Amino acid sequence: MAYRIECIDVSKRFCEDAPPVLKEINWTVEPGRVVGLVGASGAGKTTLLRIIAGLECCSGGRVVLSPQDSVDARRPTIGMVFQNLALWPHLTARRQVEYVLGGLPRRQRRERAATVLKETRLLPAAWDRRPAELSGGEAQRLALARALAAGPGILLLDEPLAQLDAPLRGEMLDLVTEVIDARGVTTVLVTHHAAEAMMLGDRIAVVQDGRIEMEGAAEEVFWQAPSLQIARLTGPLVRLPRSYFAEKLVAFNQGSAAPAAREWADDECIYVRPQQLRLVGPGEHNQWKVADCRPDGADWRLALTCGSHRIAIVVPQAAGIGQSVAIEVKSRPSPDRLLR
Amino acid sequence: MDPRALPPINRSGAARRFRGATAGSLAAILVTALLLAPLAWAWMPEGSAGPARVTVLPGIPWKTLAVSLAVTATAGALAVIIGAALAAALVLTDLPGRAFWATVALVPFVCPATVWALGQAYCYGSGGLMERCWPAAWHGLRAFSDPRHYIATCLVLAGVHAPLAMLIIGRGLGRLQHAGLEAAALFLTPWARVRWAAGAIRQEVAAAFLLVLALGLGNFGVPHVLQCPLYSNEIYLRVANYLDHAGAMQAALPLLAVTVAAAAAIAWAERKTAYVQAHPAPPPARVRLGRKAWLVGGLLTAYLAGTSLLPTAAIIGECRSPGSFLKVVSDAAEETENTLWIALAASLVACLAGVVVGSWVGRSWRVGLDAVTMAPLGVPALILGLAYLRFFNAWLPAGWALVGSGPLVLAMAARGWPFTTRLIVAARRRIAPEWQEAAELAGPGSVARWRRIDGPMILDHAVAGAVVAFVLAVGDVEISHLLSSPGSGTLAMRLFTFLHFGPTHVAAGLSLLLLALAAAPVIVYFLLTDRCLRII
Repeated sequence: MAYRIECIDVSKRFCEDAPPVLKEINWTVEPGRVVGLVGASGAGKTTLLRIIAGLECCSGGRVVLSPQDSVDARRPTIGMVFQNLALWPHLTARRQVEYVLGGLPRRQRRERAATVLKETRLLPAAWDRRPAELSGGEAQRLALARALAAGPGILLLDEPLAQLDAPLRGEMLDLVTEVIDARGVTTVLVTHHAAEAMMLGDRIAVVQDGRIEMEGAAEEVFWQAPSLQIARLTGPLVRLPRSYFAEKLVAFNQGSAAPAAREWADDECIYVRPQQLRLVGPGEHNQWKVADCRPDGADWRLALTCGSHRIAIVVPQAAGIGQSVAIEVKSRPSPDRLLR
Repeated sequence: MDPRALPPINRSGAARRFRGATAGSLAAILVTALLLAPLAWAWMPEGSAGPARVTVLPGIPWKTLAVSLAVTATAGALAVIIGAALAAALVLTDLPGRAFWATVALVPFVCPATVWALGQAYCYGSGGLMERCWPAAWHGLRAFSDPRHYIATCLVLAGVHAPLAMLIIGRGLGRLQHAGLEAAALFLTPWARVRWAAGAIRQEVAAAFLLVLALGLGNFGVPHVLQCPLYSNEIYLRVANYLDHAGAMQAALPLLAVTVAAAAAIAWAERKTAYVQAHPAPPPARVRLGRKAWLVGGLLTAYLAGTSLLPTAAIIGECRSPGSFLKVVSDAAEETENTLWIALAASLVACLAGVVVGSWVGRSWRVGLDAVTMAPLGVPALILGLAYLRFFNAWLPAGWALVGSGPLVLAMAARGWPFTTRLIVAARRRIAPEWQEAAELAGPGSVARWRRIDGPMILDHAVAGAVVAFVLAVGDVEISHLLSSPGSGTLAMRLFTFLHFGPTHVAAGLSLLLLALAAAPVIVYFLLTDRCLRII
């Protein structure tokens, strides 16, 4: 059964003199939704997650965990994957999962444990090993299996993939997505990798300075961040000094030198998503020289120079790009064009 | 139904932990108060029930105290050096059979101190094994010996307590993995590496020194057997020769102040030394010895042969014959039985009390609280026995027969309890908070949580604590001498009597029997379960 998570005026202060870590957060996660909680280090996202789990008490407000059909008022089982996994060092993989199923008869417990371990694709050879004998990926799968074993109403993931390398992280993300979709469990994922949250989550909530500053669909959060700080948290940005536009080194759509009112900017620079940059082929304003071109995964990373200026941009393909190019900034998609 | 009408299901975790902490703290305070109440009582003004003072002794012998301090401090420094060398070989290197070496290195501590000192005397003393084998060479060496046996006492005290230093410093060396051992190996010169390691484990070194100081100062068996006039002997004289219990308690005050302060200072020295991480970590990389393993193994063998094997051989040699030893064993059957059940009961009580108090103290890092729980480590057994004697004399003036060996068991448990508590505190602090949080979230109740998660994690240390309490109780002379009820004498008491008044072969036979009872089961158990290194 999926549960709704409702934070009502939740605030947290670790000691009287210290500034609050969370400031009157009002936030709801609908049953069965997967929400990514994104924010910088120290923003308060892990604290919020721990309050939801019941591992911390809040200084003010309350958290209500209510079942989807509003009939069953039992305390929900909460599954949690800790950042450092917190696998009990003295128990084998199978025993870790069986411990969570403590209330069941022994035989049933073994069967359920085997089912969950298979679901998270932990190879049977690893079932009787202790955490220190497991590889990083196996330990991660075990932590997920343990969190899912009791059929939780709420699944909390605290930066579960932070310690994995990129290929393993992608593999685990696929696994987590598959398992969560299959179970339909309400899930909160805490991460500082916006891309992870966007891949996994239906919605993204951005935590900053103890507040949830923005919440929305992944695309909305990515393109419509209300401030530069939030834009930085939700994806990569390319920094373009305003002088580039004045000197016509970079132009906006249709050759305009003036940025649109809603661009992310500070006094000196304009910030755009890499996806907004477009290289324009040979023409009259081809001041930028391609100094370097290297593969970046499936894309290409180009280093462009113009006098003393240098910027790096990523393009899907390098073929057909001349030695000198012009850079154009496309407008951000308007809110009505975003997928909801 | 409005979901908001549901009771808030949240935030019970922290509240539950708080309630647990309160119940745990109450239990811990109660246990501590019960075990230490006699000690507090001992300095109360004497009532009519108190034993009369027979004679008035001169004031406190400050000079003896100063000499005792000097001897014990030197022994502490020696023990730290030996312990550090042993720990380095066992923790940092890939020496083959490390669990075996670690266990064998524990022998001096698990062997009763009286027996140990007697073994050293039979081996290296006047007319001992060495003198009989190499009379000329040994006479030359003994010419340097001092008439009051300060050097011998110092060496034996260092040998007895070196295993403790090894355990404490070994824990510090294990921590080096987290302090950048590999980086130090890469970037530092060998000398700089040694200085860096010494700096990184200075807290453990200080703790080991203070512990040896506290235990050594209060040690009665070693100086008594070696006839070295240290302060603990002064107190014993007042108790045994002058029957002046109150005077002995007064004379014990300066010693107690030093030992308790040293024990409490261990808490300060050891503050924040534990390093826990909940992320599964592979076993640490060790220094490859290669062919040097022979050299290190040879040095270890030589040390253990010199301190353990030869003295044991000397004791066996003094037994005359197997028949004579068996006669001694059969004569001491009743004492053996008494010793075993009293030691078992005392170790059980000490272990349970240690688990209760240690589990509570280990939850937090409060130096003050640590100091309070460490302080009883510094209470010498003689003073503890005396305090219990005065307490039960006051409360049960004519009722000793009613309680049988109860006071003795309690006093022995109170002696072993600080060790058990300390070990449990160390184990408790190695449990990462996330492990407990994960167990709490997983659902099973607190009993299941204790049985499956907390219990197994502190099991090694609890067993080690029980073993220490058992060994201390088996070899105890001081407490049983004062508190044994008629007919419940112990082996150590019998040995003590024969040391003074009996033939040597009987004392040697009893020593061998005590050694077999105390050390052998412990060594076999540790070897079979490979626990020693895990305690480090």
